[in-house]
Amino acid sequence: MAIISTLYDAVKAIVAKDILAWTRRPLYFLASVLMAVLILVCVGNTISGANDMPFGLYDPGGISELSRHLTESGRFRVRVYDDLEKAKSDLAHEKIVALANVAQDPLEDSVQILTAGNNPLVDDQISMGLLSVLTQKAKELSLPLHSAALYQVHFGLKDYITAGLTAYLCYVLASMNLGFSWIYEWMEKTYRQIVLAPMGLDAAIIAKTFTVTMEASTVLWLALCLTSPISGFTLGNNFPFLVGSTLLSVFTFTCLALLFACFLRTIRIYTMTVSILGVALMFVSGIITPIKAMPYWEQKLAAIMPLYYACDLTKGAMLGIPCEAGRDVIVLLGFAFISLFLSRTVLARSQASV
Amino acid sequence: MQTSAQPGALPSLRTENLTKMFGSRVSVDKLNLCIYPGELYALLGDNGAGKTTTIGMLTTLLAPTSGRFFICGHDGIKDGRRIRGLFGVVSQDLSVYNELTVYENLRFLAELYGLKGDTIDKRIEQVIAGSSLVSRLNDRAGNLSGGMQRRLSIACAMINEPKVLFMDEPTVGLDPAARREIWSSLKDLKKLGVTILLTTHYLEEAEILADRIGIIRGGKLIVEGSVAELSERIQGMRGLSIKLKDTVSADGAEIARKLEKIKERFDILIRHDCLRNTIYLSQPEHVSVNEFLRFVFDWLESEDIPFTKFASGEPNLEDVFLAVARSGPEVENQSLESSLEKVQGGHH
Repeated sequence: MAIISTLYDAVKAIVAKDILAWTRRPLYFLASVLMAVLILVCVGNTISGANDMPFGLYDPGGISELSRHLTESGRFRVRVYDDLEKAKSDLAHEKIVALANVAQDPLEDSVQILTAGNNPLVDDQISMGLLSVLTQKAKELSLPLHSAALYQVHFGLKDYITAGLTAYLCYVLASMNLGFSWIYEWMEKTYRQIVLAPMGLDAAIIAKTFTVTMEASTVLWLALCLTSPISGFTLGNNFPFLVGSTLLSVFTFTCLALLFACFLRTIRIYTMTVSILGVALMFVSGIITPIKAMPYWEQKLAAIMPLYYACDLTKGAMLGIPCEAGRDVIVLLGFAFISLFLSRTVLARSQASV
Repeated sequence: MQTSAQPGALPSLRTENLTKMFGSRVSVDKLNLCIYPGELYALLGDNGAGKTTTIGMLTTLLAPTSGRFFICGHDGIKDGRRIRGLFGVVSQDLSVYNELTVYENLRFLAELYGLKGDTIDKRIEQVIAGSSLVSRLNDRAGNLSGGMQRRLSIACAMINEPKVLFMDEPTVGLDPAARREIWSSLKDLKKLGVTILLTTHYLEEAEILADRIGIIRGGKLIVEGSVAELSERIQGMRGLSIKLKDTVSADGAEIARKLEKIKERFDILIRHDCLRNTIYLSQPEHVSVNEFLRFVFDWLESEDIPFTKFASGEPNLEDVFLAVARSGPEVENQSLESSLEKVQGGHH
């Protein structure tokens, strides 16, 4: 009982001190929010695909209704040409990204899509945009091309990407905050004062994990609330699920970051490692590309990454799509508590090195 | 409350063959210390001598390879968790939270050690009483001078009323005024009966503050005693140094010839320092200082030797340190050189 009381007092003292210190660094807080907003807006919008791509249409006879359909899709800004050579010239000079050359013979009924061909990403965007337009308008256009989905969803690519980015931000914010909070104590040698207090080490682990989880989660929620109306992505209808999934994800990554900090020790090596790891995780954890669409070895790699499970949970919360919530929660908690246990062991053995 | 060292009492700190090895390198070698309540013990040594490793082991941050230590009778190895509330640590790094105020720093430590309610403010008043921190209580620690930050570190270490205080080079990097303020704080702590183990390589600091001094070299405690006891050991280290004018050379034939007259009279060691153009004469045994001084003055006058500075002094701690920590013929030279430096600084 006395041990629990001592531990509680120490945890309370460290949490109070950390929150006080946090309020004394408003710029750091604002910078964290700004970074989260930028990732959500810039990365989310960029990866979600272009809008208003300048698209040339040569259809002097007005045979097709492509101009209206493409404009309505929002992905293309149609520029109509009467002179095919002028249209090709504009394509060559990148004034338009593609040109639809509609055959003027009513019997031929064909459209040639012409691109510069020197940028596969642009070509893919055009193909995807066109496919989207054509599949949605297939019946109206009397095209033998149809698409259907098992689930009727009300979100777009941007929503899908943003949900993944939210999980990624859980990793970024947790690791960043933990690094600055924990390694800062090491660097300033104040950590020694804490661990020398009765129950100091355990109190430090509990308190730091708690404060960093709350700090990073607050920044994330604030960024999501600020960005959602501007960028136009959905936060979903199940707010408690979203809060719970992000909180759990941030907690897991905080515990993992603590383990990294125990081994990496200096802020320079720590920052470099979590940054490099973050970039790798972004691509192999199903944040942007669903793992089913990734190479087989990456699918296997993703399955051992905690970010994959955080991503699955967050997408389920924000998009309402089916996810294996039970499995995700167990795996994330498993990662968290194993990390905490290992961190405790490492720290208990190497206190003097701080 | 005890106010002075009591060798008859239970030692506040005791080590038995305390040893720390890093791989095959011995950092601390069978260290035996016994420090009594209210005593300030200064552990002197060069960089890498093992001082900080010793503090690391005694503060339970570093596991000893072998040996034992006791703090207030508690076994530091078997009962490491219990002894943690018994001591405070002031490291050479400024371990304060810069963004918190002086009061908030102290309050945090007080709460960390389980102090509650009014006790916290009372304790804070006690640990900063009489220091310049009283008027800076609401200033952020980051805005304090280095000396005041160090004073705050000491106050933080004292917040839980430790019986033993470990101070690892607490005045390193401070200006003379700040060092004196820290010394004053340490003297106040001694009056309160706190047992202090101070590591330092500032010999003057140990000389002024310590009740006893231990000199550590290569992890071994090579000598231990009070300042007076250690001075006794190097009686033969007394000497004179004479800095000659540039018109004559300390190792020239003329001076050498004139020095023969001293050699004929006394069995002493004579050395030359060409760089400083200085002659060093060791104090002859069985001859009083006054008699030797008088002779040398007469000699300088009769031989018409032009000189700019003349120094004589009791061996100070630096002499002791050099004599004990470094054996070899250069010891005398360096100790006398240091005397000369002090003369130039106006101390003698």
